[in-house]
Amino acid sequence: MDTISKGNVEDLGCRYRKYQKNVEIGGKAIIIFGVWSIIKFIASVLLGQQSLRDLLGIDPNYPEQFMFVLVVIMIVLLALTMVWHAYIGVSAIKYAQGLKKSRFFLVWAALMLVVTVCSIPGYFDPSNNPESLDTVIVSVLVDLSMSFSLLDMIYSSFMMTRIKRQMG
Amino acid sequence: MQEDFHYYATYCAAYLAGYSHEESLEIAYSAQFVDLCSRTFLSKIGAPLNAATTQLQLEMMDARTDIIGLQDITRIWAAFHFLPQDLYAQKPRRSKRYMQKYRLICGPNGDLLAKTVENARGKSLQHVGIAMHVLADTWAHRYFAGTPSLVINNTEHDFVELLDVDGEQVERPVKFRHSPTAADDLENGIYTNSLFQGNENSIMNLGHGRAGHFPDYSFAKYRYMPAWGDYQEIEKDNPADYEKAFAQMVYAMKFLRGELEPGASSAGVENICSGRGAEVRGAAGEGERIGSYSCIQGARCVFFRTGKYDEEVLDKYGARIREILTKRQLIASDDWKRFGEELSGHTVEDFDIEKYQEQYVNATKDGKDKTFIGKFIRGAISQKGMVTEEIHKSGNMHAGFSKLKRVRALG
Repeated sequence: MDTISKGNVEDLGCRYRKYQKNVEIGGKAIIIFGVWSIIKFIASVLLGQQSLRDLLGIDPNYPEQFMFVLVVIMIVLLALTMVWHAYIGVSAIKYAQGLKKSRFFLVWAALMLVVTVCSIPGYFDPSNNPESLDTVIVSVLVDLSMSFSLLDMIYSSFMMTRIKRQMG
Repeated sequence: MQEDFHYYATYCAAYLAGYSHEESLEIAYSAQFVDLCSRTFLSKIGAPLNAATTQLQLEMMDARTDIIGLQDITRIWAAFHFLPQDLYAQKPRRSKRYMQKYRLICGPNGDLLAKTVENARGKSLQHVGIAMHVLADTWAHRYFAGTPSLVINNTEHDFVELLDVDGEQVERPVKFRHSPTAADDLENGIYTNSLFQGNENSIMNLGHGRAGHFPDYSFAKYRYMPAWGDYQEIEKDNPADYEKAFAQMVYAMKFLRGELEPGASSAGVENICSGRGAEVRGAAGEGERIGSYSCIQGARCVFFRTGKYDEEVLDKYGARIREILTKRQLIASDDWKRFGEELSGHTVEDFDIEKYQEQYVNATKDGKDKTFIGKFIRGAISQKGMVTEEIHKSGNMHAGFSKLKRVRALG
C-alpha cells in the first residue's frame, strides 16, 4: 500500500527536508548574489556616470601606471569576492545534499553577513549623489535580501544538525 | 495507465464481472479509446469536438494557458484521467487560488468516483468502459492533478526506486533525462520525465509529467516528494494499487450489471427509493458518505460503495494478477492478453483505433448515435459534463461550468 508516513519521526523528517532545502536554496542565492555583485561593479564602471578613477577617488595627477596597478588590484578583489560567494554557496549546496560534512563555510557566511549588514548604513551617507537614489534603494534591497539568505542558511544548517541528533 | 491495463486488464475484469466475451471487448475497447479520442481524431471522422477525452502532445503544445484554455485542459484531464478525490478538501493557511488546485488532486474512492460509476448505470457498454478507465486512473495517477500547476504537480528531483532484490527491499536513486523518444531503461534506472518549467500554468506541469511514466508502470514502487506535500515523502506501491484497481473494476462492473445486493442505510434497513435520489451516510461511520442512491423509483435502492473490492476474484486469481503486475517490463499487454484468453477461451483481438471509424463515418446523421463511437461520444460528454458540474458546484472555476443535461436524458 502507498504510505504517507505519520507520527513524530516523519514530522522530524519533514522538518529536516525543509531546512535542507532552505540551505540548498540559500547556497544558490549566495552564488547568484556574488555574480550580481560583479556585474553591478562592472556595469557601474562601464555604463555609469563616474569613471573608475572617480569611483575610487584617485587624484587625476597620478600616473597611468598607478591606475593600471589599481585596476589589477580591483580585478583581484572582484575575483576574491566571487570566490568567497562561490565557496559559501557551493559548500552550502553540498552540505544540504549530504556530500559534505564540514560546516566551516558557516564561519565565512557569518563574516559575509556581518560585512553586508555593516555596509548598509553607508548607502545613506548624505554625501552621496542624490540623483542616484533609485540605485541606492535597489542596492539596499539586494543587500537586505542577501543578509536574509545568509541568516536563513546559517539558521537552517544548525536546525539540520539539531534535528539529525533528535532522529538519532 | 497504459494499454496493458486499460484494454487487456479491463477485458479480464469485465469477463470476471460476468460480461460476455463480446461485451468485454466493447468495454475494454472503450476504456482504451479514452486515451486516444482526441480532437484531431474527432475532427477526422466529423464527430463533435467537445467529446474529446484526451489531448495529443501536439494539441497541448498549441493549447492556450489563459483562463479559458486552462479550463478546457482541466475539463478533459480531470474528467477522464485525474478524477479529483475530494473537491472539499481543507488545508490550513492556504490561499483560495492554491486550494482550488489542491482540491483537484486525483485519488481513489472519492465521491466523484461513485458519481462516475452511478452515471454509467443503465447506459451503454461504451459508457461502462469510460467509467472503468476513469476508475483505474484514480489509482495510477493519485497524488497528481489534471490541471497545469507547478505548485501541485511538481516533484523534487530526488526519486528513489524501491526494488525487491532476493526478498529484500533495496533503494536505487532514479536518474531522469528529458528525452521523449528514448525508452526508459529499467535495468539501469534511467527514466524520462518532463523538463522543469517555472511557469505555474505551463502545460509541462500537467499531471504526472514530472514523475515520468512511473505512475503507469504496474511493477513500480518508488518514493518521492510532491510539491503539495509540505516536505512529506510519498511511497507509491503500484502493484498493490493496480491490484486494488482491478478488484474494484470487477466490483464496479458487477454493480453496473445489477448483480450486487441492494445497499442498506445507516439503520441497516433497505430503502425504497423515492425517485429523488439521496446520499447515504453512516454505516461505516457517523456522517461518512458511502454511496449515492441509484434512482429507480419504487425499487430497492442500490448504490455504489467506494472502498469495496471483489475479494472473490482476488482469492481466486490474486497470485496470477500479482505475478503480471510485479513483472518488470515496459508494458504487460502480452501477459494480460494471455490471462484474458485463458479466462474466456476466446482470442482477445489487439486494439485497433480504426475498427469503428467507418461505421461512424458512413452512418446517417440520425444513426450516428447508435454506432459504437456515437455511444462512446454520448458517454464521454455525459462524464465530462458531470465532473465539470461537480467541480463548479464546489466553488472551483478551474473547469468552468457546463450546461448539464439530466443524466436520464442522455441515457
